[in-house]
Amino acid sequence: MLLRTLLLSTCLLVLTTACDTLLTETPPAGDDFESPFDDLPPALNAAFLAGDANFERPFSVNDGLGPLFNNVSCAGCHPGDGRGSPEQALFRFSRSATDLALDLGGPQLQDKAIPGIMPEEIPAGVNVSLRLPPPVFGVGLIEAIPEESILANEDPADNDGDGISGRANWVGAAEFVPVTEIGGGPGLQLGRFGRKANVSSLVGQIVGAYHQDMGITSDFRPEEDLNLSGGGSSIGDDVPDPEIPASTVMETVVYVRLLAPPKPGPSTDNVERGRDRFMNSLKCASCHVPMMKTGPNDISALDEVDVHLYSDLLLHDMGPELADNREDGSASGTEWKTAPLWGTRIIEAFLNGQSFFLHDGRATSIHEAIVLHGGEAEASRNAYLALSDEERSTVIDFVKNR
Amino acid sequence: MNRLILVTVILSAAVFASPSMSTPESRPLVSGGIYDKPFITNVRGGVRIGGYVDAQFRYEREEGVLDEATFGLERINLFTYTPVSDRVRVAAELEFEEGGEEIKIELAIIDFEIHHALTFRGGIILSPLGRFNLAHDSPANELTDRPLVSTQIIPATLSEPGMGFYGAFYPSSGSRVTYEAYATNGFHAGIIEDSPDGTRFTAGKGNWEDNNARPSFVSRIGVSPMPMAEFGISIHTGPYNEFEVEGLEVDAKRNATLFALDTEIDWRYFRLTGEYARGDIDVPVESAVFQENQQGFYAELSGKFAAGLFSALPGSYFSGVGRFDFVDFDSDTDGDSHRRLTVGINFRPAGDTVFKLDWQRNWSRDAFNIEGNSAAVLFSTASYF
Repeated sequence: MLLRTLLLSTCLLVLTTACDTLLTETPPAGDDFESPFDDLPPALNAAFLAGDANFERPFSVNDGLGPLFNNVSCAGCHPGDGRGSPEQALFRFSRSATDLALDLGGPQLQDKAIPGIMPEEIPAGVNVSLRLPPPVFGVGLIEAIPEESILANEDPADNDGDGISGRANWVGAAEFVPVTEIGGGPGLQLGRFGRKANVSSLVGQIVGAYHQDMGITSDFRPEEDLNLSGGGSSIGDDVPDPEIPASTVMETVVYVRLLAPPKPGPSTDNVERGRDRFMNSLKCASCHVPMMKTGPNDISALDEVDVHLYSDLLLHDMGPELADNREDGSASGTEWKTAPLWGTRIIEAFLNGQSFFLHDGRATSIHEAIVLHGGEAEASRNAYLALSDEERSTVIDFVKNR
Repeated sequence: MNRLILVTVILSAAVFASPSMSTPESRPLVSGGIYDKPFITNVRGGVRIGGYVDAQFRYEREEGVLDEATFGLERINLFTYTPVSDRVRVAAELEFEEGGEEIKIELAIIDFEIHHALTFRGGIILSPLGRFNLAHDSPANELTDRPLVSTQIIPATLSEPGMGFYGAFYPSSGSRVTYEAYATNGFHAGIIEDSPDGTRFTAGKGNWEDNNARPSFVSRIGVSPMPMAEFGISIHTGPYNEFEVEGLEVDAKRNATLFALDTEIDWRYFRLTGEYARGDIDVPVESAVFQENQQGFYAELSGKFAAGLFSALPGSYFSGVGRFDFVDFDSDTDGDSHRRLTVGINFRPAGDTVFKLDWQRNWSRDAFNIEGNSAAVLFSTASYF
């Protein structure tokens, strides 16, 4: 009897003291891609959670998925809210910057379809570009950076003679984007989002993703995307349009707007030596601008704060090896927006132990990605290659610490 | 020939066994009206009503963050059983889940026993697909949550309209072989169209009117070499989509097949149960998001101790239980899987009533093979009545 009582008491004691271990532990702050900014007011936290549910929600055929689609949810292409893998990459195609091959189902190849519908195939005579899904955290900060701050780094004619000639991508905003949204309104707008900065507003990006990536119509775009090369049939998607209301789209917009970038890792001597080379001798920071600042914003987490994104958000000629030879807005076939470097520290945790870099994920390491830099970045690439192995490792450690 | 005569005699007895009306006063106001139903006038032994209740408290955390802390009446089920005649029985089970959010007829059957080796059954049957689908009442289960494989691969409780036969053979004094075999409506296209997670048998249940006019087939054979052990093998197969309308082919015919093995072994104070199931589904290739093969298993070991510890409760006992669950929703790729370890301690003040305290640890992997962690402490009570 005494033994039983002792055994029971011991079990209860272990259960109580080991509660955190037994009931899972919270990952360290900043070690994920899907956390909101700290100290948001409760109303914004609630909006964030509503948008989070939308982002995670997979659509079934009877929810309105398709008829053409690339994936069944936002999270399906952005695992853990980070970047996708080549398995989730999609093809964009068009004839030119002004001819998006809409008559052939452009500008995006939807390689999946609901039962009974033929998925699209890449038509002949178009320019094709493979795009890896980018991470979605930190886009609220990018949105909140004033236009003039971004344009201040422009040097399209390379007047300073440093070989770097960043320029903005000016694109037209979709008519459905409210003029109150950053990047909305008539005329050309500054492109901030996408691999070629080809989208000016978060609303435009999210509506496009629902419509093109998942085949989900909304109040903003209530018409289904059809396989025009397959006869334009939409039989099979019997769900009335629009399939989601504008409020759902806006919740998702608020969600990505409030996603905080992960924190960088702790500084070490190696990391600091790498930072010095990155900033000075290699001149990587000419494009990968370490810090920008947001303008006034109603959300305190976005209001005049430093943004350590390591990007100037401008287009640069990256040379023939990375060229997709497909124009996008005013971006040429060799130009790409400088990719922000935040989040590289924990990429592998959300890509099943792997990492993929560059617009199409062809580089599986920081070293490979640097080596593939050309065009305006050729001098920096060559300077990196001239370093000793030990010196290179400091640069890699620095970048992998973001 | 003798059996044919026997069947004829039984059928005749059932048909002509109508109530007698010996006096004018006993004649009903309206023939067949509310007071002239067989359960009042004709059923021998009467209608028996029973059921069970399952109440729970759940405390769940995901990645260290409180996810749920809630009380709930998981389900209350009402049973009826009526021996209509010596050889005809009617049974039904009405289930109220989640506080009445879901109400369904889980069972509604008419059994006509021709011979102990041959009984006709028709109605809404409990599909004989794995042992757990046939015997899953909360007071009988040792753990609060049902096994993953028996709810996510085999979509327990799977009940469907159908007809067929069951029976038992006794090769020797201690052994037994049972069988059940039915034609049913099977699954519908919700298997791939209704669940946002892709292919899910749970989403294909409820085919109350056959969507494709082609029956499915379900059968289980149970072999018990001795009373303490039984081993079962079962299969459910048939087309699930609408592929022909008014004689015209409108889609490719697609089959869904579930195969299951199960076992139950009792030895002294211990009980070992387990089940393995595998699903193979023909899916449309153009969609490329539906899983073709799924499988899973569970193994559970429980043991009784401290029987009669309390003198005021002479029939009481405790039991300890541990179970490992695994399901893989896409056997062709890494990820999209769920593992669960559960340990628990139960107290039964009487055999039909149980209090359960469980600790549950879950490791899931999404379609990208990224691991998610969750855990739970569950306390529940369930009782037959």
